[in-house]
Amino acid sequence: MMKFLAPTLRMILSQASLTRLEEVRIRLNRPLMIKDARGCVFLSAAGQPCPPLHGYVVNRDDLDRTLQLVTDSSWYAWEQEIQGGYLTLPGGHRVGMGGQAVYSDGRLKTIKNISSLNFRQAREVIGAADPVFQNVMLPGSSRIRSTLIVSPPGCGKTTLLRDLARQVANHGLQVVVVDERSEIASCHRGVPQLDVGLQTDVLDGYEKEIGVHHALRGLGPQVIVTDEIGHGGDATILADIARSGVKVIATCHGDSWETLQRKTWAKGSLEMFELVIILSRRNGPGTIESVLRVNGST
Amino acid sequence: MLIAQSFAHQVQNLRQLITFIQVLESEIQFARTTLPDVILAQAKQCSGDVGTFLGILSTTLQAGTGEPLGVIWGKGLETLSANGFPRAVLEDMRTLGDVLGTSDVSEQVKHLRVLLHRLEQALKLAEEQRDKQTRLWKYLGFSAGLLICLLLL
Repeated sequence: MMKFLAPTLRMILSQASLTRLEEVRIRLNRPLMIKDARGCVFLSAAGQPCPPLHGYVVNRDDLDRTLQLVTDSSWYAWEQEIQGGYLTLPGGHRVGMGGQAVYSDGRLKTIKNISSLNFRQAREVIGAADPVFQNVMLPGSSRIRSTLIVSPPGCGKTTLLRDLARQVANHGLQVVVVDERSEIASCHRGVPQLDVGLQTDVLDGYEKEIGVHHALRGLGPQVIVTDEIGHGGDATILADIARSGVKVIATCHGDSWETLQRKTWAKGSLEMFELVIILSRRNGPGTIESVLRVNGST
Repeated sequence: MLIAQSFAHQVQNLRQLITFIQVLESEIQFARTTLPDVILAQAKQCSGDVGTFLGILSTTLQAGTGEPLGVIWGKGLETLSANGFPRAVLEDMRTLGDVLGTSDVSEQVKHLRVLLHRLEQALKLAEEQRDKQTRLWKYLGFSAGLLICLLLL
């Protein structure tokens, strides 16, 4: 991640003592800040923790050089990602952007006058799915249960989903990840930066409907993995997957199976799931609250 | 004769530059290839002054200092300037360097097409001058030969 920072910022961070770096925040005319295991820390020009007033103030040159490095001097190559608000770097790290929105024909065309960048260190948790894997994949067989992971935001749904995809694929099933927001495999130039398994194809940046249809027609999946279902059109997509005899592992915002079933979009969408995993942050992200067999699953 | 050769050299350089800009346009428009990748690939394929220009760009971009492309581009143009490129072409190239890579595909393509148009005009002019010089030197050569024959008779 460091090589994408302007040389001055790179030097400051190389002098800093970092404990599990999570974020680097670069804001124009404001002090350089990082977030690590200690929390949010301002850094001085010597890379030492300091009060905000003594922090190294990021200038236009630092920001422009960092932007050049992040975009490979080719803003046009990342239009779609910029419209989504972030870029993915090699290694799966992300750079969020803050600036001024430019709209065209009612939709966000680009961001100009970038004034802040937020580097987020990618962190995958290999083995996150170990406690539930035997519920998802029946022991001694190659059969899996269609699974829905449910939780409020920030509880580790995508981390669990990614590790399930990895484990299922490494157990011999053909998996296709339809990665609408590049959050599951964190592809950079189409190449997954996080481990999603040996037998996994990734459709990066595809809209769910198009991605699922491409997968079903062309890639012969046994399992489709996708993030964040819960929109009107998802019922049709899930029905298409079910008709093809393909299993699905997906995530969804919510706090319980009962409340989820009452949502309007859920009518006709949730029948294909056999297993529901509810997550929370009670004991930190990824706390498994319950694993439910649903819709008459055995 | 040297003057005629220099015009021929200029024509060759302009043709290479036009080819590079055409490739750049296609790569940006259809493949969204990043500038360092296009420049590196073309630096390997181009020879002569344009090859040297692209080589300088490629090396500086790979260095990872985050220097603005316009500045790197300007340094590369000094090579072309030292090799007798027409001043108008250099100015047009400099203008492109300031905007290259800084906007979306449609705007990049517009900038590249404007430059292509200018380069094609410069090429036409250089070809005309080359032909004129070649004709002049051929005529002078023929006349000198004729004069020598007459003197020998």
